[in-house]
Amino acid sequence: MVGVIIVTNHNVDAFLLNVCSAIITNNQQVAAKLLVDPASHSLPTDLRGELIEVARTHPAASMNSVVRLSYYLPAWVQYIGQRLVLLSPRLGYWLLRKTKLHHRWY
Amino acid sequence: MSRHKVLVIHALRPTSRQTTIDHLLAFREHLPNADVQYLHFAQPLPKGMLNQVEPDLLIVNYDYLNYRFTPLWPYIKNRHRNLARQSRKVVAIAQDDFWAHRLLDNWCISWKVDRVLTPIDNDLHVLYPRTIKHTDIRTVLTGYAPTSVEPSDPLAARPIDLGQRVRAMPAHLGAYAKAKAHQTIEFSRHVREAGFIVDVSRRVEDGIVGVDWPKFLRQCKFTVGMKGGASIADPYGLLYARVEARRQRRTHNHDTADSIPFLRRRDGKHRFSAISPRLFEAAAAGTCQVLRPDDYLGVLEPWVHYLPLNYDFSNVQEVLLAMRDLERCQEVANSSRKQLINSGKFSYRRLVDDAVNGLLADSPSAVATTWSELVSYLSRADQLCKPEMIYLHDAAMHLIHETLNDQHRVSQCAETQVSNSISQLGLSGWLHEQSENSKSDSLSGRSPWIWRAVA
Repeated sequence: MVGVIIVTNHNVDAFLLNVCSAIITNNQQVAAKLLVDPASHSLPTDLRGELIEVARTHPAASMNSVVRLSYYLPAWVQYIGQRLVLLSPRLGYWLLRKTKLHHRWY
Repeated sequence: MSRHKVLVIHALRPTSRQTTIDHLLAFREHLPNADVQYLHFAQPLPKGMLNQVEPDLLIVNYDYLNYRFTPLWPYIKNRHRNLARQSRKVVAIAQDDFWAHRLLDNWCISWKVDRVLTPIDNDLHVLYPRTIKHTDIRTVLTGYAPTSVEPSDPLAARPIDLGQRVRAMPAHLGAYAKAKAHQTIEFSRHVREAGFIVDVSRRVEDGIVGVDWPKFLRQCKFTVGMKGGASIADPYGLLYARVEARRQRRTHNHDTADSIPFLRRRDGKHRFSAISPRLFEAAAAGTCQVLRPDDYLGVLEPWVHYLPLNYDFSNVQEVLLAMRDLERCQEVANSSRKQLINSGKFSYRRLVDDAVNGLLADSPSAVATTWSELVSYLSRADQLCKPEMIYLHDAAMHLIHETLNDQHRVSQCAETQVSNSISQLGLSGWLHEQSENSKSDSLSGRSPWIWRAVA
C-alpha cells in the first residue's frame, strides 16, 4: 500500500528509516521491495530478520476468527457492525492490531 | 487588492497516482488571481480554526470522497461540515460514482454542494436521485493532458513492445468493469505468442505509481486500453460486502458477476462509463494505443489515432500485423498526441473552468484573520515537505503520534530507530503540536492522522 517517499540530506539513513517503517506498518509489499535492494544486506541482523518476517507473512482479515465469523452474516449486519466498532476507538485499534491489518490505514 | 479564497480538500497518499496530484495542482496553476490553499482531510488543525474559516469556494476532491467506502466515512464527513456551511460555494469532484452512490448523494445534500463534477454522463438520475433536483451536475474527465510533456524516443527505439498495468476489478461492479483487465490480459497473450516483448501485469505489487508511470509508458511501443466503468450500481457498498464475504467463505475466488445470482440479476441494467486518464498519459508518452472501438471525446478515429481491437478479438491478427509496421504506428501515435495533447483542448484549464465558472463572486470577501492564520499554519506545515527537508513516511508520523499519546508504550527496535531519526531532524516539537491538535478530534481518535501536503 505504501509508496515510501523519503528524501533527505540530513544525517539520517533514509533506507534504515524505510525499513523500520515497513516493519512497523507490517507492510509485506514494501518489505519485499526493500529486501531486493543490495543495501538491505548491510542492515543490523535483528532488523533484517524482522524485515524478512514481514515480507514472508501475508496478513489477511480472514486470519481473525471474529472477522471470519462476520462473513456468515448478512451484508447490512457487517455494515452496521463495522461502524459500531468505530464507536470505540480502542476496540478499533485492538482489532486492527490483532488482524495485523493496520497497514491498511496508510 | 484582496483575492478569492479557494480551499481544496484532498486525501493524497504516498501511493496516489500522478493524475491525482496533477488534478489538485491545476487549481493553483490556473487560478492565478485566487489564493488557493490545500488541506488534507486528516491534517490536525488548532481548535476552532475550522469553524471560523470562510472560503469563497470549497473544492472537495475525489480522493477525499472515495473514503465513503470506508467505515470511517461518518466521522470524515462530519469533520469539515461546518467549513462547508461557511463557504460561499461548494464544488465536489466525484469519481467511481457507481460505488456507494447513495452515500455520495446524501453527502451532497448534507454539505449543500452547489456543483458536482463527474466523469459519468449517463444515468445520473440513478446515481444522484436527490442531488440532481437542486444541483448543477457537469461532466468532466478523469484526467487531462499534462502541462509539460517530456520528449520521448521514437517507437523503434523503445525496449518493450506492449506495456500496461491493470487491476482485477471486483465482481460487484459487473461484467463491464471486468472487461478492461480481461481485454488486456487476453490481448497480451496473443501478443506474446506472436513473439513480441510484453510487460503486462494485474498484480498489485507490480503497480507503478507517481512519476515512474509516465517513464514506463515512454519505454513501451504499444499499450492497450478501453473506457473504464461499471455495469452494476452498488448504492451503499453492500454488494461489495456480500461478494467479499462470499469470496472468503469459499476456497476459490474466481467469481464473476455472471456466476453470482444476486449480481446476475442486476448486471447490465446500467452502463456507467468514463474515459481513463491513461488515454492522455499514453498520448503524452508518444505510445501507440490499442483501444476498443468507442467514442473517445469525439476526436479519436480508429486506424488514425489508435489501433481498434474488437471486443471479441475477431480482428486481433489484423492488429498484430499493424503492430509490425512501426512507421505507420509512429504516425498513429503522433496524430493521437497532436489531437489530445498539442491541440490544448484537453488541458487542466478545462477542469478548473468547469469547477469555478460562475461560482466565484465578482468581489471576493474580505480577508479575515482566521484565513491568514490558516494559510500561515498550512505553509509552516508545507515547509516540512520541501525537497531539501524530508518526506515523512506516514508510519513514522503515526508512530510518533501513538508514542506521544501513550507514555507507557514499550518501544520496539524499529520504533526506537524511527523516534531517534525524528528527533535528529528536529521534528519532535512539530509532531507534538500536531498530536495535541488532534487530541479532541473524533476522526483522529479513530484513525491515525496521516497527512501529506501537496508539494
